[in-house]
Formats: sequence, C-alpha cells, structure tokens
Amino acid sequence: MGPLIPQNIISGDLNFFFAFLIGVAFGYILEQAGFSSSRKLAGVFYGYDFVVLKVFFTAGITAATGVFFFSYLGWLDMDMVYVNPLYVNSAIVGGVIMGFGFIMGGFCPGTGIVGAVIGKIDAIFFVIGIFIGVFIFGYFFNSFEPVYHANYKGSMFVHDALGMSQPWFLFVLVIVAIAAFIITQKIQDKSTRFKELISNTQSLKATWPAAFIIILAFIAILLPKERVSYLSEISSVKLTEEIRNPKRKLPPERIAYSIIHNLNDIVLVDVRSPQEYSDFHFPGAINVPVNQILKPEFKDIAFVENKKTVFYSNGGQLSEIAWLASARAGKKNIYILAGGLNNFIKVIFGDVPKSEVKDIMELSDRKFIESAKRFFIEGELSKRQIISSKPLSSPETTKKAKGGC
Amino acid sequence: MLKFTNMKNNQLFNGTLIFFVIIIGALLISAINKNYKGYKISNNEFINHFSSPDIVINFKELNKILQTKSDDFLIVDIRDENVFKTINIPGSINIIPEKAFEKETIKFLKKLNKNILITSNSQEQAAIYAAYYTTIGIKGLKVISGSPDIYIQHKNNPSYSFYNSEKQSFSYKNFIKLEEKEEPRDLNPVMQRAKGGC
Repeated sequence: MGPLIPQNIISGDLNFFFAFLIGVAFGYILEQAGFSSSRKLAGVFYGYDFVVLKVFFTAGITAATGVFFFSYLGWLDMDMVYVNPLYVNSAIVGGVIMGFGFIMGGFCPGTGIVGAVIGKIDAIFFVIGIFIGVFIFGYFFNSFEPVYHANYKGSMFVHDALGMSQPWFLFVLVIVAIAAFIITQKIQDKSTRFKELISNTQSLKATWPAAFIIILAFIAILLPKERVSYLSEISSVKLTEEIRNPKRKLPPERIAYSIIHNLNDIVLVDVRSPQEYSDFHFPGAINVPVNQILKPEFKDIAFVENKKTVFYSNGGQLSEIAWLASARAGKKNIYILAGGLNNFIKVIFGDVPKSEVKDIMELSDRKFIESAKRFFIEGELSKRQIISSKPLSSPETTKKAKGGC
Repeated sequence: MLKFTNMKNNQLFNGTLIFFVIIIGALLISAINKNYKGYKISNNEFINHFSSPDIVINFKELNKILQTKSDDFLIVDIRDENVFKTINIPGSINIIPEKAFEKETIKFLKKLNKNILITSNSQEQAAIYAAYYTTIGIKGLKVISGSPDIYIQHKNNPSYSFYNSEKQSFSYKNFIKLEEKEEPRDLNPVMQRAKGGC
C-alpha cells in the first residue's frame, strides 16, 4: 500500500498539500514541546534538561517499530522508501559542524525556524546564519566536492553495518532508548541549573508505555523472517482460476500483429538471461530475468496501466513462472507468449500447409502469416507494404457480425 | 491548549496503548489472511527455486529413473484421459486437467511423500502445474522436459538425451530482422522513492 506517493495512491500534486500539513503539525509539536527555547535545547549538552533526547528518541523508536511492522505486514514497501546514501567523511564533518552549531546557537535547523517564526531574535539570526552557510557551501561546492563525495558507502542500514537482523536492532534500540530515559532523568533530577525552566515539567510515569514498546520489539524478534503471504496477493484458489483461463496465453499471431502495426498496446517482457536478451529480443522488449520479476525497480516499466504485459522466453516455461509469480502478487493484465520464441518462429516461419483452404478465416490467417513472415525477415524495408490483414482466428481480434435494424 | 510538557500520565498511556493495539490487531489479521490465501512458501522463495534449470529433468535422467524402477519417484501425467491412454510414459499415473487443482488431488499429492515428476501436453504446461503445487506446499517437484509424445518418440535417441524445450531451437535473429528503433530506453531506471529527512 505505502509509501503513498510513489505508489500513486496520493498524486504528486497533492504531495505538496500534505507536506504543508505535516510541516505545520511538525512545527506545532516542536513549539509545544518547548523546542523554540534555545536554553531548553542546549540543556541536553549541559545536563539540566533532556527533553530533546526524550522527544527525538521516542519519535525514533515509535517510527522504527511502526515501519518494521508496517513493512512486515505488507502495508509499506520498504524498497520504495528512500534511504539517504552514506558518505562517511561528509557525515563526520557535517556531524561535528552540526554539534558545534547546536551548542553555540542553541538550535538545530528545524527548531531554529520554529524559534524564528515565534519571533525569537536569536533564532532569526540562527536562520540567517543557515542561509549564509548554505550559500557559502553552494558557492564553494566544487572545492568541497572531493571531500563531500569521499568514502561512499551507498544506502546502508545500521543493522546491516552491525551485522544484526532488523528486529534485533529494533529491540536493542528500544532498550537503549528506555535506559537512556531512565539515566537522563536521574541526571536531570540531580542538576541544580535552570530549575526555574524545568520546574513545570512533571515527571511522567511511563512504565506501561515502555512495557508496550518493549513487548512489540520482542514480538518482532519472534516473528518468522519472511512472511509467506502479503495482503496484495491473490488467494491460491483465485490463482487456479487465472491459470485455467486460456486467454492468458497469447498466440504468436497476436504478438506479430501488435508489432507489425505498432499498436503499442503490449509491454513485451523478455524473462531470459541478459546474455540471451542481448543476443536477440523483440524490438521494444525489456529484459527482466525471471528471478527479478518481483523486484520493485521493474514494477513501473514491466506493468503499465492499460497495456498488456506479455512475458516471453525461449520455450514458455520461464515465462509461465514469471506469470505465476506476478499473478500471485496481484498483477493484472498479464499474459504469456504461448510456446515462447521457439513457437513464434515455428508458427510464423513454419511450412505453410499444402491442404486446400477451408474457409475465409483460414485464408485470412494464412495471408497474415505470409505477410508477417515477409515483414519480419525483410526488416524495416517491408514496412511500407504493410499488411492490412488481421489474423481472424486470434481470440483478441475476432469480432462477430452484428445484425439488427 | 495541550502542552506536551504538561501531558498527563493517562494521555501517554492511552496513546501508547492505541499504537500497541493497532500493531497486535494487524498481526492477528495477517495471521488469519495467511491461512486464507493457502500458500506455504513466499513468492520470492518460489521464484528463486523455480527459475533454476535444475527443476527440469531430461530424458537421460528419466531413462535412468525408469530403469531402476525406484519407488522414490512418481510420474504424474496431467492430460486428458484419452490422450494419456494413447501415449504415456511407463509407470506414470494420469490426472485429468479438470481435476488438477481439486482438493482431493492436492491432498493425494501431498501425502505421496515421493519425488513427483510432472508431465503434460508441453513442458510449459507441466511447469505451471508444478509451480502451482510448489506454492501450496508440495515438495520435491520436477518437470519432465518436452512432453510424453516427444519422450516416447525419442527416448533412445542420444541427441535427445538433454532435450529441453526451454532451450533455444532457432537462431532467432536470422528470422526476425527488425531493428530496435525506439528511443534509447533506460534499462536501469531509478525508481521514484519516498524521501524523508529533517
């Protein structure tokens, strides 16, 4: 289901509207948490107020738990969620600059804007500083670039870097967060600085909420690694109905007709290996090796709205496998080229039967195959003499005569 | 106005409880769904297993199995009864296509506890049956290359020992000489992804 915008559940235009609403809500929450006060924010570094740590760590573990379970339940496709690539040097340099800036300025960028909006003079200067910094960085980017792009590690996850499984990392993160809340609360209670600032902060009893999150993280560890079925999949009973439907197999003539007339109504998906694909493929076909057919990167190019996706391989076996996996995954409008490329060559280039033509339909079919043969073997040259005949017996193109007055 | 700094204990408790109940509820619903859909292996596991060429058994291997008369194997021929009666692989049993997906058939195949070799009118047809049975939890399935007709015709022909109708039978580019005239296509497209950050 999610993420909502890349999956086109929310249109790209509405994206800005939702971004605006989320921005307003985020700013409101930051302000209400007291994050427009630089003294409160800086408190985390001086040990008298740890609300910053608590708010962000709580948000972190809530989001991590939610993302884990939503992804596990098939509600959120994590492959489509952008993960910031890691440039180690930039991350270290940026982290140090940010840390210094946070202590000296008393704000981080988001809270700086919140503070500036409610009229805090120090925050306004902080935001002006941000823009000056952005301008300097942009202007001298060419000189920074080697450092900026050095030590590139790609999009990596902390749990992968630590060699842990995702649920175990979630569990450890939750435990560390809760331990940090308890320890920092004790440090804060002992601190004597700025008591007037934090006097109105009650210490909340969070035993049960903490227990809930720990239980969820523990359940995450116990869950089987990969789920067998996802919400978007069709049931095995429905799958048998789809398998039985003979229309899912398109005859070679149908594919030939579409190519010859440039109908642009099908997406030809070559499910063989890249080597076989580079040796030969139908014009306009895309290559998605069968074991990658479910990969998200091919989702939008192999399955296009209002177009038939036609899998083909040499014999038809691999395309059947690709078809079955796609049908199970809930893809619609999917077909295979019956008998694969071998059958295509046999039908279009095979010997024409010497028997007499029985009826007009057979004559039309033979004529079509004859002209298709010329078209394919002569290449683009024959395109001018394009055939107007249709294979009448093709299930897709047969039309019944209608009568009436 | 709600001040987070003045949040009450019960508000924090209620909020976390709602989050907890949603996740647990969804897990329970998903457990019910899993049973309803009837699959025993994930789609990824299935595709990784079935895209391997090892899934096909060639005539040489089939001859060997038939010679040893091993009890570990059973050949299941899914074709119409009259076609089966005309030509069949020795020792094979027939399941008519209309009954291929019926509960009794599936129950029977599950209980066999043997290596099941599937054959049908074509290798492609046999593959779809074997693939479906694999997804619903029948183990040890393989697909016999070609069809019973091709096997009977060529079982002793050495050039057919490794016959596999999924192999390329023609040099396709000698037949189809159309050039790619579409605009260059990005074969490694970058997906539109959800971006986040602060």
